[in-house]
Amino acid sequence: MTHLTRRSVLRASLGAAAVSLVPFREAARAETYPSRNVRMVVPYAAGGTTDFVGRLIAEAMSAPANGPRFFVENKAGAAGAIGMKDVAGSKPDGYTVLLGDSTMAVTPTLTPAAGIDPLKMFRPISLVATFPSVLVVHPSVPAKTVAELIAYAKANPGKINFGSGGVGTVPHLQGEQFRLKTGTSLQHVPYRGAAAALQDVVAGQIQMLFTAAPTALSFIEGGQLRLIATTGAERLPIAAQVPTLVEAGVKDFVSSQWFGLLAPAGTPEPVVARLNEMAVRATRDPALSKRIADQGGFPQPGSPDDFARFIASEIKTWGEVVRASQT
Amino acid sequence: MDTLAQLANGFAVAFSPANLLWCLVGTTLGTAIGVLPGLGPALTIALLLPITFQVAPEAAFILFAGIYYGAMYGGSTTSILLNTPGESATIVTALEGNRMARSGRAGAALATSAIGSFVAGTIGTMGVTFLAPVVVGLALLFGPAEYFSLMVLAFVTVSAVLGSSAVRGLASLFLGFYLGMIGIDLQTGQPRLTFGLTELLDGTNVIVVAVGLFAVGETLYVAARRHAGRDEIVPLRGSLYMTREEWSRSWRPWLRGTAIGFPIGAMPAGGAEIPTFLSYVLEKRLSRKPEEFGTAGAIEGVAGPEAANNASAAGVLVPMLTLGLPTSATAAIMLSAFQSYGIQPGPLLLDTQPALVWGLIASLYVANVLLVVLNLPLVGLWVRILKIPAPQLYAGILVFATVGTYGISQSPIDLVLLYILGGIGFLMRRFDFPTAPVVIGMILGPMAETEFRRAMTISNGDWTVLFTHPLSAALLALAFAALFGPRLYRLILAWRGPRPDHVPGGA
Repeated sequence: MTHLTRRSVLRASLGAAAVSLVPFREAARAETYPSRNVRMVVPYAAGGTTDFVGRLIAEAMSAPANGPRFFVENKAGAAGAIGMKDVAGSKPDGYTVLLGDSTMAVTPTLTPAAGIDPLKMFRPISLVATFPSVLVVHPSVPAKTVAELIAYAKANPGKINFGSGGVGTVPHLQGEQFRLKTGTSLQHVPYRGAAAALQDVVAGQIQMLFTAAPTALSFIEGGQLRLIATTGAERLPIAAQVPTLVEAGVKDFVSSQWFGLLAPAGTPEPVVARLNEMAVRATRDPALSKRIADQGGFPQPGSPDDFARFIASEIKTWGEVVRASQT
Repeated sequence: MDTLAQLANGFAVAFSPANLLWCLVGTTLGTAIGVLPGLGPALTIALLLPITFQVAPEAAFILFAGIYYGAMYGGSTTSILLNTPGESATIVTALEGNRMARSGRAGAALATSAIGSFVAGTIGTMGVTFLAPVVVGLALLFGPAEYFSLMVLAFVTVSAVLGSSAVRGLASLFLGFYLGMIGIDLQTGQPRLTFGLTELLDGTNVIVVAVGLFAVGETLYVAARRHAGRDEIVPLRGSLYMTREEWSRSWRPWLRGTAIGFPIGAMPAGGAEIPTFLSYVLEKRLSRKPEEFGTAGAIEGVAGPEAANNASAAGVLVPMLTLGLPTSATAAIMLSAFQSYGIQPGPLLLDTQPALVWGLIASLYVANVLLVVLNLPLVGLWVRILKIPAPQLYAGILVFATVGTYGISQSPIDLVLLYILGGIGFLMRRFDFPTAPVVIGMILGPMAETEFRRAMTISNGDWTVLFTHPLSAALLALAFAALFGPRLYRLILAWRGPRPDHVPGGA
């Protein structure tokens, strides 16, 4: 006990000393930030969409070429929790940032034990991009529109299995959301990764899938999958003839996977403002916008507070879906 | 002949001096990372992804393919010499390969795995060239029910590695099931047996388990017995490479391993591990010297599985190139490299990017030749490692195992796990429990569980799907035959007239 007390006293006094220094150091830092390389943690393995977006934005934020660089570090594990905790526990000085994704809005409700509370752990910097999903079915399903699909699912309860890359992924929750909003009975079949789910819907083992647009599109062109709708607020430029779910009559169904930059909570506001400025400029870069659009995404840079409000509303939306699907 | 013309164009791409150089760099790098523990092809290619901003797509993919094939060659080296498999595909290689190394035939084991890899890699690449559309069609027929039946077949054949005591073997197998269950349950998203540790949510890594049980356990065992005066490693006996007899014992396993590995590798959930088990079991059954398995080390048990894992590596490229679907971590990263070039992988890739795809395929042939040329001379060098005196050698193995384990996910929990498993491995060795079934149970158990539950979800709980799907039924019939066939055969022999030299229970 004595030892503990002594240590906490020591820590408290150090903390007080640090606080008294903050105004001075903060001002000095914000002007010169970034003066050295910045670590951008991607909480998933290399090769996924988060990694893809992370590498694009890190490259774009590293301009000018001779200045400090943003470099991606993959810190995968426990559905992103390990990487997120790593960033939350890092020094809030702007030299560690997180390329976070929609999972952080699901985990607090789905796995409270993981101890993820994004708005307490992080200071949001900017949303980077949103990626709506596409709703596809195997051609054996006799439905060409959303209305026909709902009618078929209602007439054949238990006939429609929808896949996903795992429990709690956005495509899984989009399926649950679709089931709840349309009153159909759909069965969820989780896979290890979205590619395995896509494979099984192409093979006709399962009937329906919410998934990322680009990979699915080549199967749609080849006639191996049928595209029913997209989940975004607006139509996808790479599949402009296909209606959104809202247009097709499913009320309030707008959801996407999203990616954004966050810093550890307590990062000085001037540094956050500087990071936001850099992220917004990088995201608006035409070359980067085009690469995101080619992958079916919408670049959506904004202010730190907009991003914070967006995360809060996502936690609410997905929290409701998770709770409704668990009962 | 269209394919041949396309392939010729592909060779024109692959034989350009710059691309040959990329291929050489890739294969050398691949061999090196295959030998180093904890560094796999997936991680290496991920680290090299930024290169896609600098060089032409053909060059990048030739480099990546070289790394991918090279790692498959290099991976067997540590399995054979140090009993420390660097990746899950070479776990089975360690079973016989390390025994051969201890009895002075490390050179032959390394040679048969290098040449077997060449044979399997080349035949597998031919499979990619000529059979890809057919194979992928077949692979798509495999649904959850079929996979589960394939697992049943694998379980039945696993009995061959259970060892002399069924009770001990099954105890090991069940320990493997237990380890495989740790982590988030795929079907419900609930954590199982994680004791609140975030690090355990993703489960235990099979390489950590294999290295802990095999390498660390073995080292502890040797250390404990050192004063008993046994130093069992013979650096080299006989010729460095394979003898005539070893050649004649190797070529059939190479071909059989290829035949098993390629189609399973092409299946979406096939992987590289199951074909190596199946090949090992098949070779053990067919071997003319079954008594060498598990004792002096049988060359068939290295040749078959090594061919199987290389053929499955070629198989993995089939869904990747024809459908744009990754079925391994490495394939996933290669696909993301396609995307960073703005090339959309998918069923139309062959039509939209013929030069790239055929150049890549042609470079695989080149990579195979380069790899065997590169690896055979290295055998002489590797064998010298075994001349290191035992205390230093085993200390080196411990360092190697520890660094490699830490390299996999930089998690201290993995290191704790490695040494706990090392302790368990030591006890198992001391009390004569076989360790291989742990690893096999750990790989097969969760796969069987997942596929079964998935099949039941899709069929709404109707388990007859396992028999009504023709492929699934055929696989179950095969499993049934493998289980009861030998017994029936013996019964028939006995019925025809008991032979005097028949020993009851001797088989």
